[in-house]
Amino acid sequence: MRKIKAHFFISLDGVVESPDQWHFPYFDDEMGAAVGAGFAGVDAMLMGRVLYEEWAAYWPEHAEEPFGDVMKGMKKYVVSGSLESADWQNAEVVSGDVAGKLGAIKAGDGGDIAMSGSATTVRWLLRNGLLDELNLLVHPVVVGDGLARLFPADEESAPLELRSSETFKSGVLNLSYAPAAATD
Amino acid sequence: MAARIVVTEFVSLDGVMEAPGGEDFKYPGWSFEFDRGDDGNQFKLDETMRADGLLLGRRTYDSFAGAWPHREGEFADKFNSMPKFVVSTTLGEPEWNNTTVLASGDATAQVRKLKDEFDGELQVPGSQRLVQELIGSDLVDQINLMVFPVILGTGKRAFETTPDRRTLRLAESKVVGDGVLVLVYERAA
Repeated sequence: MRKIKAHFFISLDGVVESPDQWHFPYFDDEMGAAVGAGFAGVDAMLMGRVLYEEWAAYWPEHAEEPFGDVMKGMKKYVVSGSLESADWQNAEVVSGDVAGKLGAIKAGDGGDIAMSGSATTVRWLLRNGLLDELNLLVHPVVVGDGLARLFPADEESAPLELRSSETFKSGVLNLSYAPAAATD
Repeated sequence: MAARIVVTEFVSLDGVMEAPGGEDFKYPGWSFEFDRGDDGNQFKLDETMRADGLLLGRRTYDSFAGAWPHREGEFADKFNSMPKFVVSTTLGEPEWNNTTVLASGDATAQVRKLKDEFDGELQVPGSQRLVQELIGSDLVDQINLMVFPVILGTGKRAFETTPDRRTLRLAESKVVGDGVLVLVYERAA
């Protein structure tokens, strides 16, 4: 079974939006290694429409950057009710019965499926029992500013299990959660 | 001589701190559903014994004053005996032993004065509105969090939207019990 693994840079107050404004002071070798490890065994990415449009505009123009080649070759699944086609190389729109289609993708052949951002899609996957890992790099900063959080108000409750935790020299926490196994 | 102000909260992974031990809420007493282990209990005991006083908002005061005087044991003796300072314009004569009301409408000014005059560690548990004000006016020296592995999805948060960015230093981190994180953050130098 392929796993869907979500990865976020997140602040102590739960902000995931615009990491370019607060993440860089904390990027170091340990974080680089953690980000790299997140792609081990991964051969596809899953994203929402907003992130897809951002990346599809960015990566083809920046293919020479680190990850440029990886991004180009990687299979991209895009969850969207409004996107009709995805022109970026190796991209495929998942629409309609998204839960059924993602279930079939997970049951099919291939490696794990990584997500980097796409908070709305991650919340939907969690609610629908399709998310396998929630990996958070928690930065020691209270961002404030009204930027969007991973979990805004009025979400459903979801019990989790902490699978692993690591503390970097920078004070960043590397946390890996999985949805708690249903007890009933 | 100046007090060290230490905010201490039980929070869910999504930062909700409301009613971890009961009170009126969608998930009252939610923190009790998790095993925080002997290590977690020891952390809370050591933390409490280290306190020289409590600084409380009105609602947390009401909750504590309604519970601790009727309890016995190490925690209760400590809570009942140490000085308590309550920021409230509406609380009249506090009944809980050793309680002082800071009654001015300007909580920041009151706490700044108390911080100058009080010697030792002033802990601020719960007290959501007061904590927002203290963070906003940069009066917090340390934040102790016990993070439980659940997304609650609703409720008051330990960190509401603040206008200013606050960088912190992670001074301590460990996992206790069943996937509960103990985190100690200090003001970044």
